[in-house]
Amino acid sequence: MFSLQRMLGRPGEFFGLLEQSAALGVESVTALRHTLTDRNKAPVMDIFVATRRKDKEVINQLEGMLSRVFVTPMEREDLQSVATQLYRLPKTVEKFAERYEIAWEKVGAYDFSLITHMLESAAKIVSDMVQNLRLPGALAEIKSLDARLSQIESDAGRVILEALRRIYEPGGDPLREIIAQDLYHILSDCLDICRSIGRTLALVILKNS
Amino acid sequence: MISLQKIFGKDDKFFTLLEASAVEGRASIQALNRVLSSPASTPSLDAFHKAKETDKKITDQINEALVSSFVTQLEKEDIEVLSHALYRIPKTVEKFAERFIISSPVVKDVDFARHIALLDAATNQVVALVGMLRTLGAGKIQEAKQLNGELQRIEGDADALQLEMLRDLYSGRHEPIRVIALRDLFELLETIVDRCRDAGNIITHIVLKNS
Repeated sequence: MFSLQRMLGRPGEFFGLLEQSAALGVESVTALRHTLTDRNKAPVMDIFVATRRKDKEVINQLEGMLSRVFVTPMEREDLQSVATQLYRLPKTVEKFAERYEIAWEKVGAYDFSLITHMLESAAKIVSDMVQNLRLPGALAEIKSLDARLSQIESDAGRVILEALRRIYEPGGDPLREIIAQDLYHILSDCLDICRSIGRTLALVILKNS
Repeated sequence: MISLQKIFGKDDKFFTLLEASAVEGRASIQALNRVLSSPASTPSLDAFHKAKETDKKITDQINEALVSSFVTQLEKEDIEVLSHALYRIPKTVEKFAERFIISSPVVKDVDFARHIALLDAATNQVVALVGMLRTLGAGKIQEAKQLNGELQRIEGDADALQLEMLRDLYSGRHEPIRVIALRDLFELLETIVDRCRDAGNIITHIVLKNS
């Protein structure tokens, strides 16, 4: 049967998929924080792979709807851009976990728990921002959440800088410092992704205000 | 008196703010030049932090003005995207300065003069390009393309310089920790030039749309 409603699309479905994707980002970061709490154990990769795959399915579903549905609640490119960026978070967290898995014994001297805690806060704010997308007049709230993201980014920058100060100290074990530097760079990328999603969401809301 | 010009956003506040933002980017490079020219003294982050914070305030002012203006001479999204691109210049310079300060025991004797010359030229082009936005119209696209072409050339030179620096780092003549620190610093310097190039591309796109 020809379904007009199906072709015209339901705004709630698009927002629902973005919300699912953001929630999977939080899930992935939370798993990372739990993993890094115990520095004497190898990480279990399954959770990171599974979360990223689930996110991929959600994004594929959204992309399918974008090509099938005539009317979307906001511009197609904006929905696509937010979805692509949301997917990058669990993907980059998985990349960190892969690297950590092969080298965790060598970087036991480095404590990543504070920075992952900050990353988790950032991912939760991103998730809150995505939930605000469907609400009318969300600009002020989105801006306020974006400002909190900016603050977390700034605080996390200081934590990473402290770690790098230690890495650059003369006399360290070069191999250990190279691995630690790589890991901090990936965590920094994760924070940049959260910040970038926040900015995109603020821009999308501004366009639609 | 009600000012229609103000309500419809026809005043030049956006141009003034964007120009101020570009100037802050340039100021941060000048501060960097002073620090790198006297490696013997202990560098301070104050000048970089000030340039970045001033630019952040300007970017916030632009964002607030975008929300309160009904009509803007340039498209709102273009203003927002450009203001963010401009803000990223002093932000990345500050990041470089932070890394330089913490790694100074192992990198103090490195000569960054060629990098500074390229950064100086790149931020000059950005200031000139932003200045063009006030007088958009037919005939401006050639000028914008010329300025942006120069920016692309500078970026190409920066890439070549980066490769040369990496060749030296990979030669095996340096201590590993020094290589680790310098690789980070050179990458950040290249990123600053990339940020200038991004701003140049955005401005050229705006000029093209409005010509």
